[in-house]
Amino acid sequence: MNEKNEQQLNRRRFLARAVKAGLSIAAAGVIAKTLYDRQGPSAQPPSDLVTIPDFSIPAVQGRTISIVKGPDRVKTVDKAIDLLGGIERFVKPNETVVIKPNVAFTSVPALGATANPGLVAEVIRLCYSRAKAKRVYITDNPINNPASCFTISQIGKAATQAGAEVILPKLNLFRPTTLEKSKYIRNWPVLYEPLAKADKLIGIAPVKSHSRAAASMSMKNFYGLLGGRRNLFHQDINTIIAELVMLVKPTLVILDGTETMVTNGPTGGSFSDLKRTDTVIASCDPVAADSFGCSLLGLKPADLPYLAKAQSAGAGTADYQSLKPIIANVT
Amino acid sequence: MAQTRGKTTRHHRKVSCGESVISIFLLAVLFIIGLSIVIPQFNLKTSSTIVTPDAPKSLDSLLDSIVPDGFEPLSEIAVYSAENLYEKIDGKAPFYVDSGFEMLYTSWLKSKNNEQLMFEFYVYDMAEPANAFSVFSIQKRPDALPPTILLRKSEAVGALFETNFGYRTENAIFFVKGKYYIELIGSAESEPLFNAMTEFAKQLSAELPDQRQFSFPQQLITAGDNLIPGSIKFYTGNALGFDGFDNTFTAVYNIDGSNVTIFLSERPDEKNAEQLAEGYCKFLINTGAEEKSADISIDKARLLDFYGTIELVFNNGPVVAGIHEADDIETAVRLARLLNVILKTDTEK
Amino acid sequence: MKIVTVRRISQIFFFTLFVWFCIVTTYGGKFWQLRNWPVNLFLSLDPLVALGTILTTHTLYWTLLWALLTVILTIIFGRFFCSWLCPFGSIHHFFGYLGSRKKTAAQKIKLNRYRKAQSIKYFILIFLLITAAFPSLAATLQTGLLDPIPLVTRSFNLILMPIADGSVNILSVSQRFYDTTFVIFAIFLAAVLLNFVIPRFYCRFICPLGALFAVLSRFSIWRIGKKTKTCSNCKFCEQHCEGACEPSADIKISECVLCFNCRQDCKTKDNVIRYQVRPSLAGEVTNPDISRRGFVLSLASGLLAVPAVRLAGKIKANWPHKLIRPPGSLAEPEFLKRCIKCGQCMRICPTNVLQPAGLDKGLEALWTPILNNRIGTSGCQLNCIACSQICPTAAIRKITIDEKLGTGDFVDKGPLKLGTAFVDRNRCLSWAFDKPCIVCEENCPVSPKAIFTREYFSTVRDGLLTVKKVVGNTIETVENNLTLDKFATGDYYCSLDGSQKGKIVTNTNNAITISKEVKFAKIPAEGSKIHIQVRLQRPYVDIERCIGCGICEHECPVSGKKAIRVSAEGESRSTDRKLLL
Repeated sequence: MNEKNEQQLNRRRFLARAVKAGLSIAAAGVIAKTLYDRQGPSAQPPSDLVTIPDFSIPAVQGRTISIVKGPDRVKTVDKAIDLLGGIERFVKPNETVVIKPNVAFTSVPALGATANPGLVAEVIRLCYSRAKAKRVYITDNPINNPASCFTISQIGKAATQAGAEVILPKLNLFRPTTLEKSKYIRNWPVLYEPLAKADKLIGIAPVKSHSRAAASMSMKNFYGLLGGRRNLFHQDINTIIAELVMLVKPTLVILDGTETMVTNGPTGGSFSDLKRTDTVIASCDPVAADSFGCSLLGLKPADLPYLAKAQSAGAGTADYQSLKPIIANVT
Repeated sequence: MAQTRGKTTRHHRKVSCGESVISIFLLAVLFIIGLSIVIPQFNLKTSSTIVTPDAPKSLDSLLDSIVPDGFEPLSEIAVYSAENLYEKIDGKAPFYVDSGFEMLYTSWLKSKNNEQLMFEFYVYDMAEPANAFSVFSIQKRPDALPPTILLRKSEAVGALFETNFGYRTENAIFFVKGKYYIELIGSAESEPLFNAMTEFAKQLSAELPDQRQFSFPQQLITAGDNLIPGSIKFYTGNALGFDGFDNTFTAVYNIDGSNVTIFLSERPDEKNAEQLAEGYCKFLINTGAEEKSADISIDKARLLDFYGTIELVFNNGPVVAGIHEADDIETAVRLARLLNVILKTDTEK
Repeated sequence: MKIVTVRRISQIFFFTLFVWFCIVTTYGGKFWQLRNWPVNLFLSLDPLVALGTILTTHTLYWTLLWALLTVILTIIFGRFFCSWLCPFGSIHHFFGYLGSRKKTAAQKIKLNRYRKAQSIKYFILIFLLITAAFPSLAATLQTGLLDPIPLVTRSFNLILMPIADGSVNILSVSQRFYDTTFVIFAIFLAAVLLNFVIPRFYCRFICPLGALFAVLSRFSIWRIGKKTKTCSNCKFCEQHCEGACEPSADIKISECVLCFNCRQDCKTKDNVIRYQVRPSLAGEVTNPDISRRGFVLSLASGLLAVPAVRLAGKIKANWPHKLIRPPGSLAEPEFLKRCIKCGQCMRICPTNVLQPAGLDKGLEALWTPILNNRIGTSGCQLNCIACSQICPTAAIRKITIDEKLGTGDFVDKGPLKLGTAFVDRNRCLSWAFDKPCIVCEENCPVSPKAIFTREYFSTVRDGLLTVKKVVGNTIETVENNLTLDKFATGDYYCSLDGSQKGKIVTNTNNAITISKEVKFAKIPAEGSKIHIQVRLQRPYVDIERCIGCGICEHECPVSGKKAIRVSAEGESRSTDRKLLL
């Protein structure tokens, strides 16, 4: 009896072993088959270079740029976006939106060196309530300490109150990218991770004069997506600004010329640096937006070499008139 | 337990049947593994070398296999590339290298019976049939005999190669096959040696991997029935001493007892041809020729007297042609007119 | 026929095959040269090579598919590889046998007892696999250091073969040299000699491949074991036990290498030891004996080791400039994920320029191939792609001649560059010593040449002379201490008042004769000065054309520290070591 039991036990044990052996062989076979590489490695090393997605939407004739005059930013921005087709044209339901406002300095909103928090909040509201976006993120890589910038500019608070999430520019969110045919953006870190999960990108910038570049508007706003020792590029500021719009293709830019910083830009510091020009521009083409925006600073497009550079690189047009801007007034 | 120092005692047990069977089976497996590794190495056709550093096709194995009866290789086949060709043929190297040379395979085969009889073969890989033909035709020995060979005294005479592609001298055979130019140089004038060389040449010609035949412009062949067989030469550069004449054919015709040379070169377009014709004239004048006017009735043809011989140059469309070293104007003009007509009819076709 | 007889035949067969493959790994087409002998067979069969590269590259390179066969056979039959196939194992078996021949049975049994230290090889395996599995770019393949097949291949290729061939010069026309190989030799010798202490020392204590086989043989269908519960326990079965697995008691299956010596040695009439399906009736232990503590320790050291080694920055900014890799090599992080340090490329290289790297190139690069242009018959031959064809793991990718030279389909890409040559103007004969020499320019193999020269006339030392009298083309000088015919080599010129230069034909101790082709515009007046100048052709490197082949460095007559040296800047395989924008 014992022997029979023992035999049975042995048989069971053997079967178990045989099955395990068979499974091991099968596993080895499967691994070999799935990983089988007939080609061998290629010459190019695997690169961790990323490409920033193209967030632009198809152009519609006559609905590329709108210029709205009025004292109340919230009303003018609403109107400006509506004139181009409404937020629904730009943001579809359930999409993820990243808004890139100018949060460059630890500067209070009244000084006009950063984007207006109320304006930012309004755009967020539009995205959620009208466009039914799934999620809105706010991000920027400021010049001063990021956390302080988001706090003092009050953009952080306004954003979270409107339901958006602030993404601070931690180092591990940057990835190197190379822009084809560019001089400076070669293997350069950009704030990629927030953009990687986005469907749409909206830039929001105030109109400011700039000591080096003559003006800092919607194009220069994207400097805030660069990482590394980016101030190097100030030596050739016009080229880098042009390359920024080759690198980043936003869905929409809002250029806030309600209170323009006409002197001592980009940091300003005195209320006397600001001039009430009561204009908000919404544009699918940042180059066109800037080419109008400079007029608020008393400049002509020809005064901004980066406009011509960007246009010749095919990143937009410096002749905003050709786009038939829609002009309106809101009281 | 018996503890023996050194050697261990082994009980001579009978090996079980099962163990023997398995052992022999495993032995057979080892044998098969051995065979499957070794056999492909000796199968020339199916084996492909892992390491192919130089020419994509190595002639070594082909040349190794062609050994005439009664002969054996004297040494390894030596291979030379453009870098070290001069080590073998010294001053002649630039001529080959400038004409597109890629590889030279050379060795000796000697008779097993007679130590004195041996021949050396040179197989030049010239990259293109045009280059091979060029170095072949330019180096043609003046004492060239037609390549008809008596294989055996009693056999009918047969041609080894087409006249334009091979010839022999007393002790050597020279021929072109595809992109290869081959020289077989015998150590002595001996019939058995020459027969062996002929065998070698026949087999090699049949088995060389490039069987293309270089083609000549039809016009050369039809221009007069008096083409001297085997006189067609092709220059990859510097024909007639003029460095503008690359891609140029020359051929010799016997007209009324005197030899006249035609030259012909197809250019990319008419303008190039006109410029080349003019350039050649200028070159001749610079070196002392005198232009003579003559009724040639060929458009823009020019006639020059170069120290007693006549040069005639013209272009017909994209083809530059002319007569070189004619004895008198009349012969030159006649041949030129004939050539021109042929060229005209060709372009009209 | 006894099974041990077949096993011995198998060992001899595979060892001979291995040595034959080492011999034929010689550049050429004869039957005793490379042709298409499968010289990488043992490396392809080695599952540790396959597993290592799977972990680092997440692919199984096609030539390594043979390893699947070894794996399957091991899962079914057990560790047959160790005592039937492995050439390194055969060496240890033989020396172990030599070492214990004169010992008594009791002594031998004692030597073959199981020792706890046999679990060290598992820790080594874990360590090596962890460093290979490290995420993304930080993974490094170091299995080649201790994996027996690459180790024995390396030892034969770089030490035994060159020594053996050194006097007869059959395989190689001249003596082949390999740098830093005394360490490789020391390790090989130590492994072999330790067999006199304990038989199969390496196999039992160190071999990570054996450890891998041990893990794979857990579920083997057949295993060694006793067919009866009791035997006389004479332990004679353990006299020649190769794996030290104690078949007389609880046999440790993971250590058994299937040498069948136990079956052979069993003294009972009816052989107690069987190769059977059912587990040994005296008990068996299938799991390798690894303590949890040891496991965690080796895991942790593996995890720490990679970032620790990478602190040296040797694949980042601190990269060694003399690390010139063979043509077709992948970029450095990728290369280190594939190179198993087998030395096949160094063995096949016809010019002997490939050398094993020493510790100075970084720990990870130890024994990986680099070019040392001073060693061998010339730098990297232009038309040779031998190393890329033979690399078993594609650390050196298979390239074609077209890709190497930048012809055919690769015209746009241009030729593969290994680095760039730099002229050391402080050592170059024509730059620093006024001696004419253009050996580097002459030997540059690319067309147009990557080295070009600029003419420069340098007044020689004591070359300012005063004219006494001019007779025809001979200028007699006031100074009369010139060496006879020193300036007659054709390189020397006489400069008359800066403008006219005449080539010097001969000179005596006080007269210079200038070539007749020079006609004096103005006869030098008595008392005027002339300069004796040497015509130099000073070499410059055209960095757009230089492919870093090293032929110039090899030929440079300044034989110690060469006056033109290649370093790896500008190599094609790296994006971050570019020289040109």
